[in-house]
Amino acid sequence: MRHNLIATFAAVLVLAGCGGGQTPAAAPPATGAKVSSTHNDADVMFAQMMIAHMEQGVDMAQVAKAKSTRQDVKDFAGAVDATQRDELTTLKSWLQTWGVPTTTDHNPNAHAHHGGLPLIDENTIRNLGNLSGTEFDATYINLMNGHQGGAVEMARTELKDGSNPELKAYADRVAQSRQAQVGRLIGMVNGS
Amino acid sequence: MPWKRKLAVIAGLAPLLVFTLPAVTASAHGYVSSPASRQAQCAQKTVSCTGGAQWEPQSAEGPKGQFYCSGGRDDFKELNDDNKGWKVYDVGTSVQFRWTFTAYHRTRDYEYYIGGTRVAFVDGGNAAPVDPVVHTVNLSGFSGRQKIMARWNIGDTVNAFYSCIDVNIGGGGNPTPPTTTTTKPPTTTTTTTPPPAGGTWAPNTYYATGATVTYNGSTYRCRQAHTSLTGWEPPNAPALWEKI
Repeated sequence: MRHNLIATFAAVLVLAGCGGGQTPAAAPPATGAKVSSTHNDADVMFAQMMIAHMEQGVDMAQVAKAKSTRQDVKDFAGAVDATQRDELTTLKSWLQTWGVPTTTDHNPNAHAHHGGLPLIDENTIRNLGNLSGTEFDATYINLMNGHQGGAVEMARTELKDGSNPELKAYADRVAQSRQAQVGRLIGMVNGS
Repeated sequence: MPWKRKLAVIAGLAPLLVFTLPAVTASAHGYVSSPASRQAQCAQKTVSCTGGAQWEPQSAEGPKGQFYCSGGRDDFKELNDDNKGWKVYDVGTSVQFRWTFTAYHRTRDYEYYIGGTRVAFVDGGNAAPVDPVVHTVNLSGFSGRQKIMARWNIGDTVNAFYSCIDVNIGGGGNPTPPTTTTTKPPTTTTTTTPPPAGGTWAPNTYYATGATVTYNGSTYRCRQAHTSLTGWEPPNAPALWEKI
């Protein structure tokens, strides 16, 4: 299943004429923040789930940058792309500091006890790649809205169950920035 | 080789087993995002909310068959308050409702009610929704201010997700896209007028590439055009802001 999903994802990206793994030319340095060694299972799970989640968000941002017909959508996708790449670099370095894997099982049921990993399924991603014009924009906006709503839930779980101070501070920023994005996206899908 | 056949059978069943695991309530969420439902307005902060809807508009969940906008959740009960200043959308007799999902769960059906009258039913085919999910609902026979209650009935749990949308039928005569009766929310600042160079960073403001701002005594230059938001303050978003 996972390989099928990844293959589908790759196909969608190829169709959209872009590659999710590219590094932007003007990649800024990562925040470079160091992480303390204290951590528990909830911290590890949150960081791993956020990595999988943000990689999907970056991939969808690539599609939107290529296909959107709205400048505000392109700007939004561009900012999500840049900020999440930066956060990915930081989270991966923190997990490496702890000596734990940066990848996790993408099967949502593997994370049931953590509220599930809110990834978008392959049919939905495939369908997004097939849309164009205003319906593409409305669908991307709505997908990102739900996607970031899932991130708010994960971040709030980390704030409740996590122990590492730097990761909890990051989770607080995730809760704020994704919640603000949800508000922005609701406005955008309603035509304002 | 019998064991090979057994393995093949097991392998064949594996995907089914994944999808027939008991549903986790936290993994199935959704709401109507357009026209903006009551919880969408909480999340958008165009209406001031104190309960869970501002963080999780997707989680107005409760047993099927209720008529509460909150789904019966106590921490979402402000959604039941008809006098909270919800935005009322002027609509015609045909309205398109667009759903947002944070997880994709098997769907029995969707129902739309005005009062106790079911005005629309959409079969979900017991399949996971695939975006875009947009339902065109005929509101002929109704007029004036009405509260539409939408239910997303999950296929493999006892629960449904509830969304209420306030409309004024015949108030605008323009069925789609919905037009608002109030001014634009503050989170959607128009993106045409860059702020003066060197001003203090603010959320919900358009910044062009190269624009400079100050934040906590430091000066930053915008790396790429974007509309700022809470959580993307320059020190928290080095991908967007270069310290100079």
